[in-house]
Amino acid sequence: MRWLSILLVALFVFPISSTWAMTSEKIGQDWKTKFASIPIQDRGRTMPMDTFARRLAVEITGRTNWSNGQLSTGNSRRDHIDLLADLLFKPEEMLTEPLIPIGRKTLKVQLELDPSMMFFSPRELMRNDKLYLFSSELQSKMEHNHRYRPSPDEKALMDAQKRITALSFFVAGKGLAIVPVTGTDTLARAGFAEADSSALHVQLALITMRETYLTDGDMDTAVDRLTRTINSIQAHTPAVQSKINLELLYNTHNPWRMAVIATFLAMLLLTLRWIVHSRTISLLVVLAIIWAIAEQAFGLWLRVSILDRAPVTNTYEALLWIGIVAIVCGVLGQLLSPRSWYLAAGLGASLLAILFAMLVPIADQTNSLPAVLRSNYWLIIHVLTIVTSFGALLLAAVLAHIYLIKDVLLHHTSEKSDRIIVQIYRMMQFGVILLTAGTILGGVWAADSWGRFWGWDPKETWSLISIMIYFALLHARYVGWIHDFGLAVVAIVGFLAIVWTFYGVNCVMASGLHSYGFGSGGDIWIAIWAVAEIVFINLCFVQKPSDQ
Amino acid sequence: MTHRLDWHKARLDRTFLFLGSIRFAVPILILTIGALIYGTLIESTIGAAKARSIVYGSWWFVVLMTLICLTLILAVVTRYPWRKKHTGFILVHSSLIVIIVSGFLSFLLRVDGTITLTEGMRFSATASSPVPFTIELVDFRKMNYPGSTIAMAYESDVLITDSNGRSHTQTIRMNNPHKFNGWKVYQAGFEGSNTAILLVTKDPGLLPMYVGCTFLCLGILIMYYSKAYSRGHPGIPKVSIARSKNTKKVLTCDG
Repeated sequence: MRWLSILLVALFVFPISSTWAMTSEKIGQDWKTKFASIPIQDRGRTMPMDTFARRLAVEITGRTNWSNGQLSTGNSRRDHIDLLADLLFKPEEMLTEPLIPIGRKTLKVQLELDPSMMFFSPRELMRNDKLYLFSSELQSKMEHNHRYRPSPDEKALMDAQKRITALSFFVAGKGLAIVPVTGTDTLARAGFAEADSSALHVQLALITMRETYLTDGDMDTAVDRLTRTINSIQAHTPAVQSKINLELLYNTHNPWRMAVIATFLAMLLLTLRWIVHSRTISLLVVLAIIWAIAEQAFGLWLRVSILDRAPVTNTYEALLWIGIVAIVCGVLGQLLSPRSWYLAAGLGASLLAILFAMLVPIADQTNSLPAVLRSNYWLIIHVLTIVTSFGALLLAAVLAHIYLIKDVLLHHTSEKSDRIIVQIYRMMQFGVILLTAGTILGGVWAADSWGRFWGWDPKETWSLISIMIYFALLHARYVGWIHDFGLAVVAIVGFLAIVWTFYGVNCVMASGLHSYGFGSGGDIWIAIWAVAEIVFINLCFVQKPSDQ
Repeated sequence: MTHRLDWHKARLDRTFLFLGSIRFAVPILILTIGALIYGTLIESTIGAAKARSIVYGSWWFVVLMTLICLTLILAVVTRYPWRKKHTGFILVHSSLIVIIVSGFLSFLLRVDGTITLTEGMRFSATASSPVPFTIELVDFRKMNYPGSTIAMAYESDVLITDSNGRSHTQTIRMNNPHKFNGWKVYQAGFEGSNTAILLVTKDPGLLPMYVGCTFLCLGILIMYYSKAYSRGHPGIPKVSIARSKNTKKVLTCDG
């Protein structure tokens, strides 16, 4: 009972305290905080200026904070709001600032750029003849052959070009979409170059802000004037305002980063408890786990409230959901069978999933949905089922690693080893039924939106392949062709197939209909992981006892 | 199963027993996995149409599917007389047969076609087209995300007149096709602001497919709850226990 009450208190105290921290931060706010909370419309979504600036900063410079030593002194230790203000108020100067990163040495040599530099100014890149030649060659290659796969150098070039485009689009664009249009939920643009009559006052406020910014004047008053002007046209509805506040909270609190910290802490404490058996440490483990789950639940709740949609519409959200499923399955499994490895594996799996999610580019984290995905019913029924199965199968794969390392590589076999096998098997059972059901439900959705149940789309085919791998295992085990070792290996191989279904089909094969909101971050990590996994399995084969 | 189970006493040929056994099924399953991987490779390097003609629609793929069907049928038949403990097994394997047969039905009998209509235009049933009704696009609407040109939703009001002259209007949108006498009319896409692309299909394999899928999931659940599956898996714990008895080393480690 005592534990239960601690659990409940922790669950409630945490979101309240973080909200409080947010409001207390607001009391001592400077102009940047005020400016960051102005609603702006971008790519079909109304968001705080903060999110817009983060996105812009990442799209141009690849990071939200840059204090790179190789930058000219003016830009070091500046955040995304500073960059936005600089680009908005002194665009000419910014064109000569080293902002655009090019990491590949070979590309820099080809473009005759200084290979020791990391950042280059937009102007020097725009005036680079080699870059122009190289990119027009690439363009004709891509037009000639639609399935052309660009080389790493060409990918880096395309990346740099995207950054230049993002920057010039913003600099030459018509300003910020912050002016309410009376009677609609659309926001019109206001900039310095031109403005229609309704945006005139906002334009004037922006001009004042520019002068203040350039003369180092009182920005606080200038931002207040801008906000007042916007509100005098049409105040934002409470619904919009509350979403803006939630999104600011989401941006500043960053629940997923907190969840990584909490999960890591829980893993450390769990290891400590393994060495020193004490009641206090056990209690701390429980608290850390509650903290981790609460952060994830809080992040999920924030996303659902901000974006108004089921939380599984793109890679980023899918990975976050996998993290939640893994930790929840781990905790539930541990509660049902206390002397098991579920919890350790669940924490590890959850941490991995969130860390991978952090590799997804920021612009792909909160994209607007294509019309076909605007069905919360099907998103929940099909995507949630499938992604939950991925979470369970990830947990099975992590348990399989524990077994292979402990029993096969280190020969620490005990009575408990049988139980790990049963735990792997349980998670696979859970995962496989969800995978099967989810794939079928995907077919039912496809029959309602694309007009066919099954069309041998690579995503469909690969989920069938994954299902068949797991079912081949069930049969092979039934006739005794494979035993514990084989089960553990198949749990890992099956998960490799799952990752290919989830990731490889979109990013490596780059084909098929399931290409919604897919970022391309982290391919190199996935490749390294897959190779490491294969090496690991082979190592286990060499080490395995002969009776297996 | 190395030993002959008692329900195998039926006067069935050894070949039949083999064809219905896991020993035959697993290699076929692995072959199919290989074929499917090959198919997706072709899809990504050459294209979807080629993948269909080289793999998914080829004679050898049909043979492979037929073999799977055969082994499933024999797996079910050779268990006769069925007992209560076979419920899950029979359900899973016979629904897989239904699923594959439905797939064949769709492959052979499914009809589909796209119709591009501008507002006010009408698609009429002709002798060459199998569609037994006419469709008129009354109104097409496209909604964008606020302040952008990204399509948020699009829908069409259509007037459908069947061969008896009865007509009705219906709104169709993404994820919400109009079902009508075994036919379905989908909102597949759009061109400009007043032209809708509609997809018309009839698929007699769809209903049996859904039945098969429902019973498949049901069957898997029953198998999970049946005794043989609820504790790890038959045969395996014995091996491990024997091994752990040999190695006396016991370690205290719990997660």
